[in-house]
Amino acid sequence: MDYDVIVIGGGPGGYTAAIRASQLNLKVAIVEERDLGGTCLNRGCIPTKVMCHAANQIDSFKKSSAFGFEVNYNFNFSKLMDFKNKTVRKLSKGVETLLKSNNVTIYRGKSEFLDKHTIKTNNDTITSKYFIISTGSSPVTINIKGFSNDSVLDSEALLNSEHLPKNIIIIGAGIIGLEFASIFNELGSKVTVVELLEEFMPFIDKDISNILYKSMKNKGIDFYLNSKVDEIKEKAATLISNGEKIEVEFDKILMAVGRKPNYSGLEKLATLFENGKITVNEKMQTKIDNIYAVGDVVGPYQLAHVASYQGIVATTNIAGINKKASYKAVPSCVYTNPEIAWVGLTESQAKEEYDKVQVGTFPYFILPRAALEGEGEGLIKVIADDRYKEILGVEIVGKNATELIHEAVVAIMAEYTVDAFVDIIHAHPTLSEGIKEAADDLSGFPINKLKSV
Amino acid sequence: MPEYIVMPKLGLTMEYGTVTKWMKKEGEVIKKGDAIAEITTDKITNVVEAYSDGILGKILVKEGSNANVGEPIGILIKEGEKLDSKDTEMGKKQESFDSTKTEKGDRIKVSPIAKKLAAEFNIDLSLVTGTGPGGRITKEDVENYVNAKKEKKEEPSEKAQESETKIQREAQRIKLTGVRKIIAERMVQSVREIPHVTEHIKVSIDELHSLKDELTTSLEIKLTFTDLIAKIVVESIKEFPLINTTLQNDEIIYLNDINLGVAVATEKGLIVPAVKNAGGMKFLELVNIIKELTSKAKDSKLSLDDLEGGTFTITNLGMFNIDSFTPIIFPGQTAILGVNTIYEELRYRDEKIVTEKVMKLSLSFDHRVIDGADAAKFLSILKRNFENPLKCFII
Repeated sequence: MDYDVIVIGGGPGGYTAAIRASQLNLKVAIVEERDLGGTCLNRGCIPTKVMCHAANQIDSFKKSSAFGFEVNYNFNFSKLMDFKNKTVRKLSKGVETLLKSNNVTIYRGKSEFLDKHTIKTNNDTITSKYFIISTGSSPVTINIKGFSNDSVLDSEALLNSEHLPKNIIIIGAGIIGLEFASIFNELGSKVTVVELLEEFMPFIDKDISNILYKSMKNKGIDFYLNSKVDEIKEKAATLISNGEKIEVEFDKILMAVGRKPNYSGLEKLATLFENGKITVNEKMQTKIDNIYAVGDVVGPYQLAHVASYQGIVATTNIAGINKKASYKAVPSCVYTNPEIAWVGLTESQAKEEYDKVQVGTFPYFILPRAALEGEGEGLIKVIADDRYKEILGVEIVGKNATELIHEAVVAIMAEYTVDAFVDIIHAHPTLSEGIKEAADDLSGFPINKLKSV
Repeated sequence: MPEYIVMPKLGLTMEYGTVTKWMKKEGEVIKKGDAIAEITTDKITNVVEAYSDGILGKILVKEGSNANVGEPIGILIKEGEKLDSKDTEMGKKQESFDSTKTEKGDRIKVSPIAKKLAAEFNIDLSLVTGTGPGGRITKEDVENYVNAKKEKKEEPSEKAQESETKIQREAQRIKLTGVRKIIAERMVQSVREIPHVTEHIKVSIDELHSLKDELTTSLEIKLTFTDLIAKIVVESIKEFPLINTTLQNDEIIYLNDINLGVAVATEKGLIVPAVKNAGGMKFLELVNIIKELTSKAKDSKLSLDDLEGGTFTITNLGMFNIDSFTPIIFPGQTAILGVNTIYEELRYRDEKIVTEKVMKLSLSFDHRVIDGADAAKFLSILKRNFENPLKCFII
């Protein structure tokens, strides 16, 4: 065998697994068809967050009048794109440096399995005792009448736009669609979101999602829920919304209806698939025992941080140390304005699992740090079981939600109960103390909030 | 690539095991499924089997040493593969990536919810194995512990089930104490040490019967058959001294005195007081002593001295209509005579059919000392004396 482990795909799941494999004294190679860092770094999380940051800058300009500023700004879209590209290149180069410094051999090219111990990439046929498949996912496109690749973009193509679209229609109000909606709206585009489902963000509690929904609508984003794009014409699209036909102008359409796993190159491993999908056990091991799979290609989450965690789990098991993947406290973050983040169970999920649950909330507008920054839009919610008051979930909508959530991740992972949590001293004034305040509310003894009846 | 052979988890609560034996040597070829090492915990002994073919490259945990669950105890290599120092250090390195490894210390690491649960179920946390980071006790650990305990209660082991049904069947349990305990010990000792043989002989007691009546009338005392039998036995032993012996190591010791043990059934159990020097007693003397000892036995007033020193024993079950039985010899004696019920038989005598009172005598003897023919000889002496008893009583 040429290697102990070959990792296929250099995204967050793959490169993390490769580095850890090397740290565990395994001889390891990684194969990447495109750029190291995968979708996340090159075509997903990182570039969108560059744009997101730009959008937040604009938002702060708008809000600065309250603090005495009078801001007039000019925005150059292509400069933002340049900065985004440079940042992505720098970070991708960083991944390469990391891999090399960890003695990971890098193969560049598409790979194909010949058998369960052999792959072919370019002109190399290489063998390995173990494999980790981390080939990721790609955007799904649905066929719509009048569809053309010039007007309908997926997220990757949109991130490579040269001009800021004047009117953009976003198909799909999932996390990706909402983030782009928030960004392009802030940057100056007229955004229309079309969603097939009737409910806005059905995967989180309504009291949280409603704050974002109202905020986005107030900022001028048009939402068509329970709607679909029926036909795409040259400059306008026909929507069918609640049975009515509506014409909406556009110069770009973003199709953000989901992502599908990348199975290309795995065709010869028929036994890998069950009902057309790769399945793994808690050790991330597939049905072929020397082949592991992590990240978007296998799920159950399509999140970079879950992929890297799974990469660690897979490599640890390959090295002979038993480690099972646990998804007890996976933070989910939505980089909209305001941000949304949650971890553990939502209130409605908790009610399905437990007889009785208790909920404590704390709104941003009475949270001193949020109020003094003019960021009163937001809500923190803590969910616990009624009997032992174990913290089951935390949901946050508001400024810095994606940073604040980690205290809750630790609390859930550490199995904190509300009574133990409220004994943790939180600095004042911070946004973080809002979580403690929400926990106090849950315990029935809120200090800085009127007791809810 | 070298593979680690790790300490298996043989049970829910197993934290570490002892490598009691390496069944393969370093450098030895191993086939998949081969037993490589023997592992012992406080509850179980099991073997570690090879997951794949290879060679036992290195033993990391010596025989008699402990390893935590999941810790490498040896290294399996492929043919042609060589171990370098980093492989043997790998175990240490791997430890640092194993977040569940328990750190030893007095402090019990426990999550807040686990602590609450433990308090509710009244669980001693020091008994719970933590699987969280650094061996921290998690909610799941406590739940597993509670469930394991519950299962133990709900599904008792076969043995427990067995004893449970026993308990249901039983009305009462009485511990072996006092007389009962002594009888138990002596009987077991006797049966274990002495090769028993029992011979039965039928004797006519018409003569003895009429003698008993005559003596009762002339002496004006109440006599029992046991009294008369005791006298006949003593006189018979005098004719056949081999019966009055004791076996010590490889010596048969002939005894001077005939100390006649007379078994008495009491509420507390069988008691055998001994009539000391019965051989030197006149009949009436013997009768009085037997009477005294019997009544003392029934009133639990026997002294230790009364119970010791027997050299031959008679045991009478005649009053319970027993035809014959196999008495057990008292340890230290050579034989025992079982006396049975008296019954009538038809007999053809002097051209007439007559009835005759008969009885069986059952003699158990120690075959180490007495052979069957010797015993038969003694029984024939007894028979003669039973059937012509007068001689025994005029001495």
